Amino acid sequence: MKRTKPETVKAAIVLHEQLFGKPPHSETVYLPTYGWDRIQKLQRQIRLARDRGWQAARKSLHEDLANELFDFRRQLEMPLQQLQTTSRVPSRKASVTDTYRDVLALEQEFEDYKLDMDKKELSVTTDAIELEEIYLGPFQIRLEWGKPSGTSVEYRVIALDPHPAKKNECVTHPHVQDECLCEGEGRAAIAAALAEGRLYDFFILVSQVLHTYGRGGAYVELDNWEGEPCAECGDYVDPDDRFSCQRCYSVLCTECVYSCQSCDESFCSDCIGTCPVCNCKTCFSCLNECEECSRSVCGDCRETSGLCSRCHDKQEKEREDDTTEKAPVKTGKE
Amino acid sequence: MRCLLINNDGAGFADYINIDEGTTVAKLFAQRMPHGRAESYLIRVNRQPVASDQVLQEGDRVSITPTKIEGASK
Repeated sequence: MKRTKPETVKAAIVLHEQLFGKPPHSETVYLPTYGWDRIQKLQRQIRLARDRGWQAARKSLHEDLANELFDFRRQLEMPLQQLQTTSRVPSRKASVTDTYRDVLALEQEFEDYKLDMDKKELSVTTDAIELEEIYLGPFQIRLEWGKPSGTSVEYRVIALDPHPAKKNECVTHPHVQDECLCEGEGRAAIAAALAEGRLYDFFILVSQVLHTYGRGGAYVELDNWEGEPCAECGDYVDPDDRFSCQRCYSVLCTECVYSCQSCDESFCSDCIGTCPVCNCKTCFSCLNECEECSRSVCGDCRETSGLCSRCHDKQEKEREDDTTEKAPVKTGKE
Repeated sequence: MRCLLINNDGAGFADYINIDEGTTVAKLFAQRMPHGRAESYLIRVNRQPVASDQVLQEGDRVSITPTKIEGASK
């Protein structure tokens, strides 16, 4: 039989009392009565506007009512979820013995287990996490209670050796932003574990979410973790050196981006043309057809006559030639 | 005999169940997770990893947690 650790027993007793001794705030179901009052008030105003024939006011109030109802429906989600969680949770709650055994198991399961009764924090550290060959480092899962925010229990996921996404430093894991884990498939089980006081299960569940990559549902997908790839060469593009084609919006690096010599906008090689006269890169919007030869030329190579410089020069020469032919020939008798 | 079963798959289910004497971990898993593969789950008895042929005892706490739980983004 394993020896009981007196200090762990004491910690478990205090932890159990602090976490589960008092009814959590979440047992009070908040109903959005203010939102409902607003809706009823708008209803009265709509009736008044209808009775007095104020059509414009009535239309505006109907729009306000639609917005209020939309918000009200969203506000109902939280108490509904709260009630569903409470009704689903069995009456069994963790005992002090359960908490003691959870604490012992956490010490064995995770590295760097810490319980700080003064700060009211219980934390464990995962191993270094690597997803699809992207190193993310170890994470501390920190359970906090009794904070001024008013929530009974909350937790954070803190990157201890952060390798955040290049495009957003707040994203330290595909499913963690600003130290907040989006639990996805684990949401209901994590909520149930916390509600029932199953601390060991809670930390295991959060750890499993951190060890899993949900492709297509991440704050930043792992394909773009090191930066977005250039559409032309495939190299990763640093966010500070990123260009975007103004026509097709593909991402480009500094080496592959083209600049239109007329409008200075950025384009990829497929979305930019070349002026056949000066050979400068010009976007399709800045190229205009010569009215004579139909070649698309840039603004600098197109005369006000609507001709390219070649056709314009040709036309000028022909005009000069015509003028020379028609000019009277001077004789010596004058 | 009675055991506490904690199924952390999906919504999470934790309650006491009655099992026959001599029920092994593998047998309980097959009964409760007929469509699941054991290697896709962390199966713990009294918070400890155990062999699949371990025979369960009265009062054991059995937890079944998926190894892959996909997160999301809000």
